[in-house]
Amino acid sequence: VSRARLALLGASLAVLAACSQPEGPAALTRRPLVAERIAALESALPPEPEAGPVDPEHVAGLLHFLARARGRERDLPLLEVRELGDGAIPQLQGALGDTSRNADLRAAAIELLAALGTRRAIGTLCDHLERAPEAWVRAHCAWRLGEAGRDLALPRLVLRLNYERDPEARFWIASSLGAMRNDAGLETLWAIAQGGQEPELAAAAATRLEELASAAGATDAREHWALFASGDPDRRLRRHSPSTELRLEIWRLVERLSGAHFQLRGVDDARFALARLGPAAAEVLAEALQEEDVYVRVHSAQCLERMGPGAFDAGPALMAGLQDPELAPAAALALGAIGYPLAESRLQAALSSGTPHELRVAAVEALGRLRLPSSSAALSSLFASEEALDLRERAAQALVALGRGRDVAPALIGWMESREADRHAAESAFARWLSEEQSPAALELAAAWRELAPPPGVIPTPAQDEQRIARRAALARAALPRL
Amino acid sequence: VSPIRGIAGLCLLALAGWALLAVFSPPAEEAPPQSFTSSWQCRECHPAAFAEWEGSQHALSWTNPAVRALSNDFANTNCIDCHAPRPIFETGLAMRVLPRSSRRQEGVDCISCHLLPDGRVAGTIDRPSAPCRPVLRVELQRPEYCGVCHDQHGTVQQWKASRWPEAGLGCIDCHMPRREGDPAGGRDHRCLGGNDLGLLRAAVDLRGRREAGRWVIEIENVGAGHAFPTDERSRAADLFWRPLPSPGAEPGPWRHFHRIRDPYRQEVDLVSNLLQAHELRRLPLEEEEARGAIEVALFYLRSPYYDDMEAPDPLTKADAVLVHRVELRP
Repeated sequence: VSRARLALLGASLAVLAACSQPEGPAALTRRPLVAERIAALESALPPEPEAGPVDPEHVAGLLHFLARARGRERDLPLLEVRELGDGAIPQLQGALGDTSRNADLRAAAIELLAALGTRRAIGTLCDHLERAPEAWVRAHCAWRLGEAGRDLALPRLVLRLNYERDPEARFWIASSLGAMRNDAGLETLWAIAQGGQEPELAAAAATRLEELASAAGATDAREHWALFASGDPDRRLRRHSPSTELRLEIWRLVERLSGAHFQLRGVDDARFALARLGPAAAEVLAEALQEEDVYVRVHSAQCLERMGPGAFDAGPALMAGLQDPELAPAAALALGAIGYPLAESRLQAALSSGTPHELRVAAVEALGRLRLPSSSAALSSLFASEEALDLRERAAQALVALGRGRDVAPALIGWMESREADRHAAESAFARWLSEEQSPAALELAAAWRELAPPPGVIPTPAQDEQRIARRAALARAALPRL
Repeated sequence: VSPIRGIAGLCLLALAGWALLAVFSPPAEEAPPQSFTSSWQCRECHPAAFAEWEGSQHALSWTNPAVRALSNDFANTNCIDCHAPRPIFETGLAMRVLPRSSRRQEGVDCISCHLLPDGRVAGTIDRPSAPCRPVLRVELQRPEYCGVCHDQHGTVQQWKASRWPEAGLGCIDCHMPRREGDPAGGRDHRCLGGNDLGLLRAAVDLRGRREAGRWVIEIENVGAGHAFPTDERSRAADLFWRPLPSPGAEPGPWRHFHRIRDPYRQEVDLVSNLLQAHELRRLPLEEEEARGAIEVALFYLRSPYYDDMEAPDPLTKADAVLVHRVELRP
């Protein structure tokens, strides 16, 4: 082949290359971060000693002695069981689960397991916390887990808040969470303290709330609650430093978010627990936004969203997530929920028509959550535009959040009457605006509005629901000129 | 030239012309891409399917007051995944759906089931010139497609364990039958299920047998392609009996004797006892009063709790549906 021909071929290829489509932005590099973190933490954990053989009579003796021991007598069996190690667990577990045995003996088994305090022993207590049919056993397990103080039990204790219905067991779960500097149980303790059905338990909850406030560095229970609810922006509350075991458990929960698992049950549990495990989980979730599995990224952002202001430190990681097309809508919603004001300009930029619809809607909602007056103009412009209906609806809801309800009230009424619109959202937004208005006409409308609410405990049919919204819309339309 | 040859020649000429046109004519122009932001965009071209869907439980999955009450107005955000899912084709078969931010009030809508990641629409034909540029996708007919949400409580697994797959019957054969049985008429998008008395009645059979002077009540899953009830843990089915009143007399209260249900996760003391596909369950009535003429009733419940669980009364429960009632006389 002549040089001239080669030159011609080369030139042709160069022309072809020049005319081809320009390259898109470099693909974001993702890696199996969750698997890497779990492997690293597992190898960092010191191995637990093998469970050796133990004398069954020795364990039985400890059980019976502890069941009747008083005062300082109790220290000895609690010490001896540690010397026996994990080999005692099967027998203690058997005694704990044996419903034919007396309650003192079963309570002693729980206490010995807690005193043993190894990972296996804590796991055994958690199993009974979750599955024991008797509420008192579950309550005892929760109490002793708090005394054992091993934070690897936190995820399973937190998760029980979602399922446990017995008030005493709930009290002990919340109390033990607090003992390990986890505030997920505060709401439960407040609810018990304010509930009038069980005065003794209510008094115990009130006392416990004060104890936890003092231990956390707050002046009283009310301040403790306020700091927790606001995400403790000035870091006034004492924080728990997570053990390697807890960090491993948190990463394992993150793994349960992955697309490798089909059943939502495990995902729901993981989301519930992660959203309540505090700063240690927020840090892990922020990192998990770089995982290659899209389910992990999206659900991690959702968990941060559910944490609210407590996940403020995840702001930069979520901002980076806005560049990830699959993650961006969830990241936007989370940025709004954690109250990250630095996201405002990025979110406003995402309102433009070239942005995918899903992200635009999420950005509008996030701006409404941020409630920054500087977003008003962009939201008003979107509301007044000819854009898709749900964008305008969300813009109106955001404007209500920004205190601009009067501007959008007529549209909200119209949407309450429209089959095509989100009538429930329009109803809620109008009600929110109405609740902030103090004029006599607004108060009168609010009273009439409330009268149309279904009686407590009654779930209306879809037809009754539609009827209520239509009647409220008619009331609002009639009152609007006077508002 | 004979007339027959002439006609044959003309036919051949026409056929050749048609063949030439078919080969050399330009392909039908593809419709311009559209952005789908609401299922209301589908209404103009697909009014029948839209109207069916609009009245369906799928359309109500976000707005249904019962769902809103159970999810605390979706403050329980776990519910969003299946009640306002992103398009199933984005995540794929046998994968979980992901929740969406937009148009949540439309629930499980046209876009959730039909929108493809490239902006085209999955359907039963390829027609690039149509505004939504439909593409034939057989996945739409597979039980696994419905399973991305409905197998979260094992419904597709129950179907797989039954004899129905062997018989060639899947989800859409019962829940999305062809409109008026016409293969060209498309499928019914109401997606009827436990909200339809006809389907409920076809799902189970209720009867009684006399054995050693007592009644043995038999309930058999004869028609559901899965367990009865299925899917939601809030669903339950209760069997009641009462003495058959003499003519003109008021009947006494219903007396509960059997419950079929998959318990909630927190109900650790309950065991799932769903009536699996094809299962026959025999329930002897031991009460002395039940030896004579009695009537037996099967009620289907969309939420499991009565005001008084010690003395459940289906007649005071708004969502209790009487599915079967049989009179048994010795």
